[in-house]
Amino acid sequence: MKQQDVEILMVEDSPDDIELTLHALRQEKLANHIEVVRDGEEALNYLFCRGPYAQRSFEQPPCVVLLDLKLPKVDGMEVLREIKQDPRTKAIPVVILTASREELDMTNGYCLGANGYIQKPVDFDNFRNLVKQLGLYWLVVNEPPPAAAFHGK
Amino acid sequence: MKNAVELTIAVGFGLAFAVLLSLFALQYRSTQQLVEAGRWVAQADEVLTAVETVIGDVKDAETWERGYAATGDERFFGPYRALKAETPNHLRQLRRLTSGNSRQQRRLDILESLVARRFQHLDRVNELRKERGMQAASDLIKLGEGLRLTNEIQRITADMADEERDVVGGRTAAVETTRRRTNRITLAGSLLAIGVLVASALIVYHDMVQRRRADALLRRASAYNRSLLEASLDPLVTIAADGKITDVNNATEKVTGFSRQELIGTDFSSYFTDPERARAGYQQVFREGFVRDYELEVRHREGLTTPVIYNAALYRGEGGDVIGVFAAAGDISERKRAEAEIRKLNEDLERRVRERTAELQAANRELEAFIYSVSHDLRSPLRHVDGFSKLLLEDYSANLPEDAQRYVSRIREGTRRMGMMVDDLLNLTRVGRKELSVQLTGLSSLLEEVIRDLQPETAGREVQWRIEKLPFVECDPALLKQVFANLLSNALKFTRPRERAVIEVGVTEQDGRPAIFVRDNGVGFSMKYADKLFGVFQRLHRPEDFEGTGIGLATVQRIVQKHGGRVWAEGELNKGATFYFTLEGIESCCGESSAFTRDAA
Repeated sequence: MKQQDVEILMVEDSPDDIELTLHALRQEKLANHIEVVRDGEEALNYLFCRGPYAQRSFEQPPCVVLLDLKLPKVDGMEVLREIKQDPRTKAIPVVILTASREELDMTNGYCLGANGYIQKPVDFDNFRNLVKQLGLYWLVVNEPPPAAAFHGK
Repeated sequence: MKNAVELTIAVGFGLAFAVLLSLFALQYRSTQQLVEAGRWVAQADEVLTAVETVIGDVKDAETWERGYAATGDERFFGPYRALKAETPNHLRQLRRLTSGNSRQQRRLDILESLVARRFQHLDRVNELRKERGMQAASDLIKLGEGLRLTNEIQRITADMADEERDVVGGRTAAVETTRRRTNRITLAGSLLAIGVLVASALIVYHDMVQRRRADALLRRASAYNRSLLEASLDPLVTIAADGKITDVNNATEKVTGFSRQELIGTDFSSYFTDPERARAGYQQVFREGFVRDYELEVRHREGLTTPVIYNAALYRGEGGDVIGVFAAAGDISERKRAEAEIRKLNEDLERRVRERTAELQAANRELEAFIYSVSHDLRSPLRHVDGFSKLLLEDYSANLPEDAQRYVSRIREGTRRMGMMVDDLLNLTRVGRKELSVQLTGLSSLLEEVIRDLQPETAGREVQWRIEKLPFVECDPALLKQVFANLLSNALKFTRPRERAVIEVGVTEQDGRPAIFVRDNGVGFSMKYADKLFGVFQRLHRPEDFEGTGIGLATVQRIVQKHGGRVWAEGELNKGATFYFTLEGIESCCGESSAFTRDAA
């Protein structure tokens, strides 16, 4: 496991989803370094080190962003677009985690550079299993992008 | 005919004229003859008078002689000498008057000698009286020589008078005969001339009557033709070879706004909105002999236009020579208006259909979007209910009584079913919204995939698959796979009570078109409810017997309909069910030869 301040940035407005997700991650002992933001604007502030997160550094990006699409203020697609347009952030892996299986959303998501698209299942067992796999994959299996990837090179 | 009449008249009048001329000549000659005859009569009268005079001379001389002889008075002697001197003059006069008649001349010769001898005798008597006295004279007279001579003279003069009378009488008779004949000829000739004139007059009269009758007929025919032209409600026009109007009817005046006098002699093409096209039509008539249904637009002098169709043809004179073009126009304003109206109605209708279709499509899209959105939004709370109830059971089962645990399980079962329904609904609307991605697909291989995917459901069951070879079809393979998946999982589900499930898939024929069927030996259904099978949320079984959302067959129907096909089912309670479907892109022959029968244990 990589030693980083924040391993997972979770962008989710539903407190129920947040609790269930965190519960699942905790059970698998994967939730030590998880940051939760509640809307699109907050997500962008965090990633671009603005406002309340001004003390953050681009040098320490999260290993993965779990992005819901239906978000207050700035919606998930817009957040994705801004992340993938900026050379300082575009290397950050973004996995869309949403209730929607709308083809348009999937198409747009991938075209904007999403690194994965997962529909949240209704069944909790399935959901928990999925969260576990996600955590294992992005935090354990996957090699995060090197620092050079965040200088637009 | 006309020439014959005229010849007859000329001959008739000529003949009459000649007859009259002849009669005139005849009469003239006859008159001349009469005049001549008159002259002859007068001359004869003169001759007779002259003869009488000579006789008278002789008698008077005798009288004077007797007187002298009786008395010896010299006074009787004087007149006697005067007579003796005068008488030769009278005889010369007579000779002149009878100069043309030789017989009279010869008689005159004798008369002259007789008269001369008589006067000699008288002279002797007178001498004797004078010299010897009365006795001697009387004796000489008594001898009778003088009387004899006088008788002789009387006889000869009577002859001459008779001769003259005869000549005059003969000539007068001849003249009379000639005159009578002439009169008869005149009468006959006059009658002939009158006859000829009357005949000629009759012929002329007859001809005149006939001509007048012919004229009347002609006038009537002409008036009839005119009235026919005028009776026509269609504008009619005749045009000369140079394109100038020669005649029009009332309807033409109305449609152009110009009077007949104004129209005649002007160029016909100038009354149309497209003179070029009008002339082209006119030339076509000359080229082909006629035009039919030639569309033009007449311009009224006020600017109003009338759409018309022209029928026009050449017309010819008695000798077959082309005089011009006769053209009849039909007003098609009403037809044009009707056409325009129909066009407008059609356009309106099409527009309304388009609008309505667009509205319906929009409404349909909106409805599906709504269902989709609702289904979506339902998923999150369901997940939360399921998630937290699961956590409740896991983390707090020690604190929960058995009943509570059972209730929580029921809650979770409910959310699971609802989750399935929401997912099926989402799938159904997705099928409705999805554009077909058509490609040629072998149904047999597709079916094999589906059966493979269904293997978890057949585990522990005895299932016999009887699969015929299936055709290649132009279809969306992902959707067709759903159709087979739904139908086969239904078949597996409803054969669950059977010890040995038999599921057949094959091709049959329906209305001359191939239909795919899926048959099972399951619990079947009553045909009473056949029409309910494909409705959304329609179920024929209790959920505790056979689970299901009631959306699967609706989805099948939606997919089949999207492929231009039809789906239907036949069944009998407890005897099994057969589902059929057709597809527009289905080929009539079977391409894949992968029929197989497989028993799953």
